[in-house]
Amino acid sequence: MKRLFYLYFLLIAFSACESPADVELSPSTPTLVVDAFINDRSEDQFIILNFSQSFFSNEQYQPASGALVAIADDQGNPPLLFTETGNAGEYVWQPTIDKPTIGDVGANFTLNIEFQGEVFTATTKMSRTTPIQEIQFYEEEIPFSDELIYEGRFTARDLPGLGDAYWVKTFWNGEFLGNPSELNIAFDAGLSPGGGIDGREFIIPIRAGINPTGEDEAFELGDLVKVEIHSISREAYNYFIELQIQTDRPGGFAELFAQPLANLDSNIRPLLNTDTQVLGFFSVSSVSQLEVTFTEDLIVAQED
Amino acid sequence: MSMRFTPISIRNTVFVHLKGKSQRIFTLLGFLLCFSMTVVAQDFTINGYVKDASNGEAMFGATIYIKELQSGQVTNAYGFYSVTIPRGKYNIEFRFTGYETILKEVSLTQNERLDIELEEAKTDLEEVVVTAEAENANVTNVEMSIERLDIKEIQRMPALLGEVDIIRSIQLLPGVSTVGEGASGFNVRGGSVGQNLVLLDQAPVYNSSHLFGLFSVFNPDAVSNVELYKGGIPAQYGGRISSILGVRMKEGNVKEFEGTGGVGLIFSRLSLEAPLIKDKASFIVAARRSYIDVVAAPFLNGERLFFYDLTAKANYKIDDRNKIFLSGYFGRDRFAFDANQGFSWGNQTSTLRWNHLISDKLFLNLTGIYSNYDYQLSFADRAEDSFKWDSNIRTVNVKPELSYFINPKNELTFGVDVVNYRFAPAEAFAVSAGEGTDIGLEDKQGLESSVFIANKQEINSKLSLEYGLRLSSFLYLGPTEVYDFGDAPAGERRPVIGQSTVDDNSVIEDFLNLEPRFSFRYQLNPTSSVKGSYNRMVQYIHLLSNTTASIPLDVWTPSTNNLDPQLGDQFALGYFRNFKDNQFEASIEAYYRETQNQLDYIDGADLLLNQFFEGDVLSGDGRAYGVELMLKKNAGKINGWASYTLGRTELKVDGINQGAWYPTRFDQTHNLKLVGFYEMNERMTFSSNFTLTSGTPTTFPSSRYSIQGFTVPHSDNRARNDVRIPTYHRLDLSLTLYAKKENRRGDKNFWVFSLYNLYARENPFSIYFNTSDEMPMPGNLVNTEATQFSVLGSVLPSISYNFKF
Repeated sequence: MKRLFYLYFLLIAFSACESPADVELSPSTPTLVVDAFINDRSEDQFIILNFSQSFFSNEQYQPASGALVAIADDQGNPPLLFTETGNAGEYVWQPTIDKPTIGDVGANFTLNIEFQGEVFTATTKMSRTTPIQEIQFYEEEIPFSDELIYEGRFTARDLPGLGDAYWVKTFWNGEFLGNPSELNIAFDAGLSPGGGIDGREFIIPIRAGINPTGEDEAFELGDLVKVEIHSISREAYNYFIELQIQTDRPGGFAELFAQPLANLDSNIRPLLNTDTQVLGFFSVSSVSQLEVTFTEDLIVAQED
Repeated sequence: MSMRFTPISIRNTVFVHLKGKSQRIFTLLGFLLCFSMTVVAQDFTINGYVKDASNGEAMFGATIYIKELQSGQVTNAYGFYSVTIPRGKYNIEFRFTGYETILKEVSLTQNERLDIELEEAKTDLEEVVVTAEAENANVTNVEMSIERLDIKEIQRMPALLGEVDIIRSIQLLPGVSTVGEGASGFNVRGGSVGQNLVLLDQAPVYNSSHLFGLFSVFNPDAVSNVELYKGGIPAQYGGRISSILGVRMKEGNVKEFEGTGGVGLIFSRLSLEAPLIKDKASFIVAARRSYIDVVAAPFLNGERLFFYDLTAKANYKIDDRNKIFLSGYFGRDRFAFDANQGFSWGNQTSTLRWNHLISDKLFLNLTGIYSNYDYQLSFADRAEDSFKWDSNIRTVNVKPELSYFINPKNELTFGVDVVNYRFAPAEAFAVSAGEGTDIGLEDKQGLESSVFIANKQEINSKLSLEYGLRLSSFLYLGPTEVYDFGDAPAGERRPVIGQSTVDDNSVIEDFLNLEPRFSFRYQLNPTSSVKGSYNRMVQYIHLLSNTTASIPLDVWTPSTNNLDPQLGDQFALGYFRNFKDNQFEASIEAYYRETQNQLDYIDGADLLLNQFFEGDVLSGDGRAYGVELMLKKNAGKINGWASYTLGRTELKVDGINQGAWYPTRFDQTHNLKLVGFYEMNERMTFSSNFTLTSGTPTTFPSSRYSIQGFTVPHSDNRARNDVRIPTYHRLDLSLTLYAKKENRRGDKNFWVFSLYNLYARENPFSIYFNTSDEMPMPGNLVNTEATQFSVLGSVLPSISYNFKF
């Protein structure tokens, strides 16, 4: 749908234009950021602690070192410690033979961080994910030309029962598609809780939301395409939607429909309810994945 | 006879004396009474219609001035007047600026019907007039805070792409603003776009724009005049907080056939009017179609982009006391990606009206209205993968209104207004991999009923009042789904805690409100006056929009058990002064409006295709205040006006800006407009306008951080709209070139050459922040940048050719 709007305005946009804006921003207050998205894969899990910085600064973020980071569950398991073994600010937990994954679907997890004398905490639940049946590539004509491109679509069904939310991550030749316009979030089989589409194939915008959105970027024969479906809680769904609104700013005529700038709310709070600000989010997912190499038998031809 | 002084006799004596005296008094009284009864019994009514002699169009606001009584009246919107005065001989002047005055000698011995036709004055360039009202109407009329534009004024203003536009013209008036090109609608005295009631022949128009605000839906060829009430709103109008924009269609030339048209760069237009029965019935049909897709066809591949509209009206004068009108509008914007996929929206309205003279003093206007606004989206590249979404709002409205011309000092109006709403926010169907799902939302119904009564009273030669009361009610009706929401921390989404189904038309929630209206005019001397007004307005339906500008996808929704009606109280006070024999008009007007139950939204609000959207809506208070200055030159070769508004509009909502007052997205502190016309000679007229408005408020980040590889902006002071984008200013110029020869009816064809945004300023619409596409230096993170977006960044020249036949 986005491309429709862009095309529309291209046609009547005689002279719309953009230019760099010379702005003065308010001073920045470095704030603790907790990037804690972990999952049930049997691989190293990372929680990153660092500080926010001035908006125009693109230096590496200042790490928050020396914190104690642990995740406990309500299943009676001992808490899992994350340690700062490698890079500063990166806290890792490694699976072992006794504990191959962080935990199971249905369990509630609590994150506890002790940093500079203060304790921060967050809870979340790992919900169920859904398997991916296949990934196919649909022929499409490029507008204004006769060339064909391929639109990748995965096939999967939302699990029956309202309230399942998912984050679909795509890896193209090993690289994660991390552009804000490539953020692909589903609620049940649709785009939002109010839609009420449940227990069915995901709707097209989600299934086709695995394609790269950069100019002239598209899947080609021979590419390695991996799709992962991470289950997320309802709170994490809200967080991702807000995150997409705030980071996906393509400009141009999309500015006519843009929402105002707003801060993202975190689910991590100081344990003692002090005024200390914490940014970021804690989420635990169950993951399903499918990886294919784009070969001719995966092409779905155009209908006339 | 001797008098014996007994008590009784004393009493009798007194009585006799008194009786004598009283007899005389009674006789005198009786004579007076009889005389005055004769006078009362000998008041007669003169009434009738004032029309334009060239085409029979009713003249609204024509003056009927009775020299002997030194008092006058104006015709109502249908050209009707009614004056009740004592028997006698009178010289009555019928006046309308730009037309030859007609003087009638009337010997009034019975009720008279006097229909008048006024001829256009042969204009001497020195007397060129811009306004269609009596010269000092701005000083003498009781109404304040109202702007009236005649179509002739609108047609002389320079316009975007050479096309005259109603909405763009009212934006040149004080108190009216817009957030910029590309925004649909307009803002009045700091009110939002959804707080204006836009009426086309009394039918509500829910989206008044084509092409995302570049043009309005009103075809100027079919428009007779435009009225904008910014304050002092009379009791016969209600339903919106901020303003009433009434666009009145022409009735159609009842004397002979007339055609008008134009060819321009974006669209062309044609309008035809003619009598159906000479002097009794006529019609007008006006059409427009844009053809940018036709022009761009070689570059397109099945895409279509166009708009069209059709405006039509017919009227029939049954007899001297009865006239009926039927008018309608049908328009559509369509963008189609290909044969199966696209996006379209449009309004349809129709109005049926009956004017009936119940008696010589009692005028009835009974109106039946239908209005529908809908939009459709569809995507379907394959049968097993498709998506279709239809949304509409439909209203049916009946309005009987009566005007009772009690005497020259009192005009009473009263009536009823019943509006039935049906909101269908989403009929939507998604087919995915062959499986279909109904993802629509349930319809909602509402019934808004009002009764009003008002009186325009001339207390004495200096003081006039208009006071009235409107009682309005709204019923939120089934069948529909009803939701209950729980609490949440301020600014967060409220959870749904209950849901129930209502199967029939029962009342789910009801609201009742009293809306007093008052305005006064105190005439200090013939050239200056002081006016003041107070009105309370209530708005029962709401336009949901959480984007920067209003877009066609915005949803109208009724008040419910979760959304209260909006309330507004506005005070206004102004001083009006004319100079140099009414050649200059000046005014200064201050306003203050307080509003309650104003809508704002949580961050990340989900307003489309969401049955629980009410949980994302926040409610707060609003206030808007300001001063409007206007200086207008009406006569001479060079004329025009300067308007300046200094204003502020703010909201206070729990959960936004930490609960403190913050400016709205359309708050513009300074708003200056200079409009000038220079009638160089018979063939050429230059016109120019200059607009300068303060930059609108916005929110900037101060920090950034990273989450899962995404760079997130953050505002450390958590303020909303605490910064402003740069100032907007723009100069437009146009030249109207008339043909040498007049055509059959005395009109001339003409060219319009115009330059919009003469010095090519890139006026910012918004400033946004995101990450840059450039590769960062090794060792550095991705760059972030701030970009200014302008909708129009260069000068836009255009040409159009306009003809009449």
